[in-house]
Amino acid sequence: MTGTDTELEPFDSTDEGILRDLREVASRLDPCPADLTERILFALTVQALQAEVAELTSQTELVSRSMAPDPTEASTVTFSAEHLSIMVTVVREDARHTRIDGWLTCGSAEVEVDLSDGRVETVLADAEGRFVVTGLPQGSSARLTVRPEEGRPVITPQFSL
Amino acid sequence: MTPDSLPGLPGHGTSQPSLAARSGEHLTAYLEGRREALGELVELLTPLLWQVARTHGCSQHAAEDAVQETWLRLVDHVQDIREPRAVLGWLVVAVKREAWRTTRVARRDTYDETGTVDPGDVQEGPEALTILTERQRTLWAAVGALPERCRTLLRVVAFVDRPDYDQVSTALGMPRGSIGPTRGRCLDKLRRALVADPKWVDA
Repeated sequence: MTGTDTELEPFDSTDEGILRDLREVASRLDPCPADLTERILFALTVQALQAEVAELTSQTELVSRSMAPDPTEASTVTFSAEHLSIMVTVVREDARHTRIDGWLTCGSAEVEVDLSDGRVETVLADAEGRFVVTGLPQGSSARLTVRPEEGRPVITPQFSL
Repeated sequence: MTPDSLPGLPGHGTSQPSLAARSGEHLTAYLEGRREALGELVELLTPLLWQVARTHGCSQHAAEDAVQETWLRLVDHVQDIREPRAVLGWLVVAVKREAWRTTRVARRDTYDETGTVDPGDVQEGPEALTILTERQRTLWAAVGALPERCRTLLRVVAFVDRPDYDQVSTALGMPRGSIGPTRGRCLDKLRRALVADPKWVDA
């Protein structure tokens, strides 16, 4: 098992070409999942905020698209964390926009809406825990980060608008 | 510090800073308080780290966990990295260790045959094969016939730039100079196998 002379030759453009092809074949046959970086970024955010991830507890279509062409169609999503629950109603505003009407059991808190296009909207929930965010792009997705006056921040999984 | 936002011109790959250099710049920016730089580092290196996990016996699911776990660990241990451009090697070593740890556990239950013990067997479905040219199929089969260490080295090195070869082969536990500035044993074996194969057309 001694080496060959050719292994001592300088790395040339053919070698470079072989590795370039190998990269392409490996990327096609065994690609890194497309959403992996996004999930890693979520995990890093949760870790950085020392946040709690809320669980999706229910999702209801109040008016389904097939049953009525009613522009007021809405859906409700609820999430729960150890010390608070979040209820979000997604209401269609017009052809391109949706509004979310939210309610937090913890009362007043800062609510950050992270949209999938990178936009961030921040609102304050009132003393009853109610908040409204309007003019959100319909069909995209969002997640909420809730910062209660006491305790850890809570992050929800993504839901669609 | 040189700006890292300048894209390399097509066909002038060597004019672009190497992957390790770009990674170091993102890490420095993150340590200086630009938090988005961490996300950019994740985007830049996750495809490479995926290959590291997959060439160390991880199933797809285990590879996702190993790569994610490594990024979380980086944030906790970022102060241990004295030289920012060494972050590339640090991550490769961390994924490798995480992969060993998880596959040791997984082997007791099920062993993933689609892993890279035989990379020629990854997704051999008709769909996967039709997207490849004959040249690419020949290459993949030849890589699959190499000893495991060579397979791992070449598949991982294919995802970095030439100036990074030393850092990456060292991180994989291979001696310095296993590849570059000379061709090295692994690439030489592969190249000789390809040249001997009538289906290999030199592009």
